[in-house]
Amino acid sequence: MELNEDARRMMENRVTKILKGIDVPDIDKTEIKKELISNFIDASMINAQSRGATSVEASDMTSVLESSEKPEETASAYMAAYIKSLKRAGIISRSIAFLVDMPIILLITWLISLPFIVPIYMHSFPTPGVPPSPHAPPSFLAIMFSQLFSQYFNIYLVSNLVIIFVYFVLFEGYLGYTPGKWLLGLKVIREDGKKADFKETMLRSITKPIFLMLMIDAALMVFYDRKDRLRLFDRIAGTIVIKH
Amino acid sequence: MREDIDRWMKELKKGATRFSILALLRDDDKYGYELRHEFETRTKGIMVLTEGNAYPALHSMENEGLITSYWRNNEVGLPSRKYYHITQKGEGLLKDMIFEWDRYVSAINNIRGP
Repeated sequence: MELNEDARRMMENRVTKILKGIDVPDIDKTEIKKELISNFIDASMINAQSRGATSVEASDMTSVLESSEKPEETASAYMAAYIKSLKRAGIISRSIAFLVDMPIILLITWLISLPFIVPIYMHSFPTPGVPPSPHAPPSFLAIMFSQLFSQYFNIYLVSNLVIIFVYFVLFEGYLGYTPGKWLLGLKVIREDGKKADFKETMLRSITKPIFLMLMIDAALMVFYDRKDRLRLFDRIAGTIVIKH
Repeated sequence: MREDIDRWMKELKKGATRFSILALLRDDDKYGYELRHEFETRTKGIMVLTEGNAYPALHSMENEGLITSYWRNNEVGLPSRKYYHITQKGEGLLKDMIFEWDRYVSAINNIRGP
């Protein structure tokens, strides 16, 4: 049995349309593509056979495509099955990922605050030609520590919170994972299986900067949302965390 | 009214999909469209298994170890076909499903009355 060029083109169009709505790893997508191509060709062949023809014409493909569901429906059925097959990450792996991210965030905060701290440090060194101060210059750590209690503290604290927030929003929005999540094999995606956008990662990261809020958010997950494994702000953002 | 019945039938069919697929695979391995076609002819067209019903279900069933799959070459010029094979686990589930199905149907029929 042969397949006419028009019929093939129509079939390929349909498969492309379906695949557009399917957001799964490439290896699975290739499999789905092969499966759908084979499905439509087999269906149109039966159609051709039933009218006694030996080759599949455009009309056979038309009737097959007309009797099948809308491409979006097929795609969403695939996506639903895919999401169901994903393993949700639990509180333990997610907490470990968070603990891994924390020192990285501290390092970033420190690097950003360096330009503000170094001048203070440099200032406390004796300059050539100037008689040395009778007091020893305070250590670097002492300055950083004293910063905590200085008038800059509020700025420092707020910028720290902003950095935590931005860190999660950007990493998860661009890649779907932070370095900590990557290490643990976790990924943030939308509940419909698609890639999470910045809007979603912003919503789900709201409680991240303030530890107490995050604890409450995570506790709600443990006590009330054990099955779906969602923090309250995951639910609000419509995101899930999966484990490879 | 029509909508109500459609919604109800959709729910009923959902439960029947896996059952039917396992039953159709009991005797021999079949490829995707063959399953859909046989489903339709055996139910005399009363029920159809759409692409969206069939393939995602086959994927999940394979993930759960109820069936396995392999690609087999087709005639020259035609794409190869993916065949499905029922596993022991699948056969066990099918046996239990048949038992429960019969019980369920007779129970509901008793409620329904004449």
